[in-house]
Amino acid sequence: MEDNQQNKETTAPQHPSMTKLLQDVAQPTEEQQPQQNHPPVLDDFEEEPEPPSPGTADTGNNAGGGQPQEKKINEKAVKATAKFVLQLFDFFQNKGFATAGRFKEKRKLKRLYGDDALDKMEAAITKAQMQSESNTKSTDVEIMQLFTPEEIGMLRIRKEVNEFIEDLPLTDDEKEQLMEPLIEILKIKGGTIPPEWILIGTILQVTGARATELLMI
Amino acid sequence: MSNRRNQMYLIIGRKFTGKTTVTKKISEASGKKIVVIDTDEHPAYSSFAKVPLKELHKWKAGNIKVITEYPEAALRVINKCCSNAFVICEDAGKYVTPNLQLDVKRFIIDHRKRNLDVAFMFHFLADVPPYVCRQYDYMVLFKTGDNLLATQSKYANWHKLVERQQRIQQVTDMHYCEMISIDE
Repeated sequence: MEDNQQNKETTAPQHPSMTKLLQDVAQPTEEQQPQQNHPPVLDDFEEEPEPPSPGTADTGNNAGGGQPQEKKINEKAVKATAKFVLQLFDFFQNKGFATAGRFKEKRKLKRLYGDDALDKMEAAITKAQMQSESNTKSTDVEIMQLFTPEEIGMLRIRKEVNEFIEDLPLTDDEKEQLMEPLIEILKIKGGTIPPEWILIGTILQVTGARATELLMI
Repeated sequence: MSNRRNQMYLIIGRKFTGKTTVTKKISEASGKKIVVIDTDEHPAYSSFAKVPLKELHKWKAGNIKVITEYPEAALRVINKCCSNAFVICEDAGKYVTPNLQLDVKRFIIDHRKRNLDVAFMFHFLADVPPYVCRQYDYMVLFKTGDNLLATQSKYANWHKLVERQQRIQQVTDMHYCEMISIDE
């Protein structure tokens, strides 16, 4: 039956292009040597298709061992990487929130005290600095009398924003809480991040610091 | 007389058009040892020795077939450990897919370095991944059920393909085929 089918196929009209192809393929090609005479190592090679059964994976044919070897993860490198990632995160959340805080402060001051509010506040700060440098012992009431209610309002806003910015950096507790899951994630992802990413992170850190300074002006 | 270059053949046609017969003929004409990569046994290769994938690297001579669920792995072994052969990839549509596996891509790139000719067999022109469409040397085209408009962007010689396919469709014989070179 199969032979009949093959005979039928071979008696099919043959286009001249097929004759040319068969003539072409009959020409010899240049002999080459294989890349290697042993099978590719098993740690990056899918083994034989039979469904895996426990304890039968290694046939003894493979010098490198039957099971893919688990990649060794350097704990120190993982911790250093986690520390770097955390430092980067801390830097960006610090700078980001600080910039946002200052923007909000400026907007609030302008909204409440007019367009020249920032100048007025600078004057009030200078007045407060002079008072603290004069070493004269004044009561709170006397100090309060030195400033107008408007200046006191502006200084209160500045104080609130300053306190918010001071509290921004991650505390040691927070860092510890984040460190643990971060180390676990890094271990799953291979242990460390490539040096080019560290470089990119550092560049972002440096340029980010300058950019936020520029935004604050 | 200079040696010919190693070639990549695309054998494309519907079921029962005679792809395997023609591929066998081409591979035998090359005079090289033949390895057939397939996911299922094909009666046409009954005379070929069946070799398990893990023994493939030891292959030195004779025609063999490797029936495996991981044809990409077989291509990898061939690429590293075998040379001077004709590789037939039966039903390549199953494992030579648009998102080419690295092992398959490496094989396509490197097959000439190992003096390997290769024939990929597909059922439709649309099944051939774009990367392979740019790399093949000869296509043997049988009757296909393709809508050629859908494949226009893949083939550089698309107009030639359309012309040839129309001619092939007009021939009543189911097993009629024509060869098309990528340079046409």
